[in-house]
Amino acid sequence: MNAGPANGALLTLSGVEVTINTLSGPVHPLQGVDLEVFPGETVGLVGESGCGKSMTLRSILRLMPPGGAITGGAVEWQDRSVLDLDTDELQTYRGSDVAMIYQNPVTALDPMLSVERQIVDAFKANREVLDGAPEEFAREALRDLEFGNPDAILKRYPHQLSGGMAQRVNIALALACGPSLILADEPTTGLDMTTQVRVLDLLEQQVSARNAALLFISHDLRAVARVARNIGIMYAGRVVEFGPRERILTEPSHPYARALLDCVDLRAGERPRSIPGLVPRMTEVYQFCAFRDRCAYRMAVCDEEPLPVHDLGGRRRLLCHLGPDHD
Amino acid sequence: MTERTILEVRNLSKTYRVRRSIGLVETIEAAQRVSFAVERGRTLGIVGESGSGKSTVARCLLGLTPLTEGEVLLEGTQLGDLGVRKMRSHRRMMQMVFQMPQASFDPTHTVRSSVAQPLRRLRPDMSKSEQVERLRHVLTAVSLGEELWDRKPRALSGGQLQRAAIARALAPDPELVVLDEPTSSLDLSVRGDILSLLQELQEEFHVAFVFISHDLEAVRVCAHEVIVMYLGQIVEQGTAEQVFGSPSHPYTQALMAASRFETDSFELGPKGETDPSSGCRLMPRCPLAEAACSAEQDLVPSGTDGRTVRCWKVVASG
Repeated sequence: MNAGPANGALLTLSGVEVTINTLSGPVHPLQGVDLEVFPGETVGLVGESGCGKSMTLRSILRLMPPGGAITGGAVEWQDRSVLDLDTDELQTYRGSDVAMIYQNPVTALDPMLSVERQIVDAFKANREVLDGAPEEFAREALRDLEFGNPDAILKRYPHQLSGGMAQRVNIALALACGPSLILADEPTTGLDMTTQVRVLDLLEQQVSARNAALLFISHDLRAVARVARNIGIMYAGRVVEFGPRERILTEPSHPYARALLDCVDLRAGERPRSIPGLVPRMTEVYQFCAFRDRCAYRMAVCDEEPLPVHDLGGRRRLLCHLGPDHD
Repeated sequence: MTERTILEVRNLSKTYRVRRSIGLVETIEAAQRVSFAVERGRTLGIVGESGSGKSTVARCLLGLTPLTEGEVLLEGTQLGDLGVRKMRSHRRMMQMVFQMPQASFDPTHTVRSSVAQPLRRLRPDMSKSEQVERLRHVLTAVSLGEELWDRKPRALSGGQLQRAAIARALAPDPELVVLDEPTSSLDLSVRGDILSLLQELQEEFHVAFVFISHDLEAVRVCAHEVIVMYLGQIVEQGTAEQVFGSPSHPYTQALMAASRFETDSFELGPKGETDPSSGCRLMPRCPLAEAACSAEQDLVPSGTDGRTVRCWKVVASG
C-alpha cells in the first residue's frame, strides 16, 4: 500500500505543460494545468473544443500524440511520479490504477472481437489470479451495467450494438481491472439525450459502488453538473476556476465561467447569449491571461502581469486578476 | 392550404428495406403518415431522438430520396411529378444546411467559390454581375469577415464555417431552408450566435426554416411551430409555446426532462431493440402505459388549444 502524499490525493497534476511539434510549428495545448483528484470523488472538467480537456486526460496516462511530449510540470499518482514510470510499471498503471472511457464508444471497441472476448481479455490482462471462469466475470460485469440478457450481448460484435449499449460495454471494460480512477472523455456526447442521462447515472453508480474516483470531461456543463461533485473550468490549456459544483453553477467568479453559464441557459423570448471572439489557437505560450481579449472585465493589470493563482480554501481555486469577490 | 403556405406535406411515408441476412429482408417504417405545413417566413421545428425519422423527413422534403407514399407540395406544386429538369428549377427554392460544416465544404475550394456554386448552378437567369452582387450580399448578411472569403474551409472555425454554410443556402434566394442539426457540432459559446443569426436572417430574407434538432432548447428559441417525432410518427404537434411551455405527450415530457438532465421527475424506460407491431409505439418505454395502450393510437386534437397529440390518456384527460 502506498502511503500517499501528505494531502492524500490520488492524482496530482501540477503545472503540466504539453508541446506538440507539428509541420506548421509547435502547439502548446497545456500551459500549466493544476488539478487534484481525491479517492472516491467525482471531478468534472468543462471547456470548449481546443481548451485542453482531452490532452489533460492523455497526459495523465502519458498517451501523447505523435510529436507531442509533456514538457513541464509533474503528474503524480499517490506518491509516485507517473513521468518516471518504466514500461512495465506504466502497463500496470494504465488499466489497473487508471482506466479510460473514450468519446466514440463503437470505435473504442475492437470490431473483430466479440464483446465476450474483449471483456475476458481485459480481465486476463490485468488480474493475475481469477477465482472462477472469466466468462462468469464478463456476464456479471454486463449485469452490473443493466443488460437484461447478458448472454446474448456477449456473443455480439461491436457493429451489432447501439451507441448506448456500446458505451455500457466500454464502462464494463474500464471497470474490469478494478481501477481506483476512471477517466471519461465526453462519454455520452454522441448519444441520444434520453440515453445520455441513463449512461451517466449508470457510470456514476458503478464508480461509486466500487469506491473509485471519476474524472469526467465534457463541453456540456449540464452533463458534468449531473455527475461531478467538483468542477473545473478550462480555458486555453489551464484550469481557470475550480470549486464545488454548487458554487460553480450558481456563482462562479471567473468571467469565462460566467459567460459559459449564460450560453448554456437559453430562455425563450430572450436573445441567445454567446461569447464574442475566438478560442485561442494555442500556437503561443500565453504570458498573461489568455481570455483577456474576450473578457468584459479586462483591466490594465491583465496586460501587464501574469495570472495570479488564488487558493481560496475548500478546494476553490481561481486564476484571475479580479479575485473572487467582484460583481 | 392558405396563401402563406410555402410547403405542405401530406401523409408522407417512407419505408426502407434492410437486408438482415440472406433471405431475410426487414422493412423499417422510417416515417409513417407525417403531415404538416410551413408558412412563408416561419420556422417549423422537428425534434426527437435518433431513429425518430427527423432526417428521413428532411431527405424526403428535398427530394433526396423518393417517398413511399404521400405528397410534398412546394408552393402548391407536387414535387414527385417533376422531371429532373423541372426539379432543378425547384432546387433553387429549397436549400439545406448540414450538421457538420467541415464535412459539407469541399476542402480544396475557397469559401467564396463554394458559396458561389449554387448561384452558378441554380440561377442561370442572373447575370455575372448580379451573381457577384448577390454573393457579397449573403456573405455580408451572415457577418462573415471579408478576410475569410478567400480562405480554405480549414482556416475557419466551426462557427465561421457554419455561417458560410448558411450563406451558401441563402445564395440562390430560396423560399425554404432545411437546417439539419445546425448547432449540434458547435461549441455552446457560439450556439447562441448562430441562433440569433438565423432569426435575423429570417426577418431579412423572409425565408421559411425547417429546423431539425435534438437540442430542444435551440428549437424552442427559433421555432414557431413544432412537431415531436417518435419511431417515424408524429406524437405531438402544436406551437412552440404549447409544446415546450406545457408538453402533454409522455414522450415530449421525457425529452424535455432529459434535455435539462433532470430525469428524476419523468424517465422513460431504455430504448427497445424492436418496435411493437401495433398500438402505441412508446408503450414498452412509457411509465404511464396500461393495457388500453395496445390499441392503435391516432394523432387527434387535444383540449381546446389546437395542438394534436397521439396518446389516448392525454386526450381523455382533456
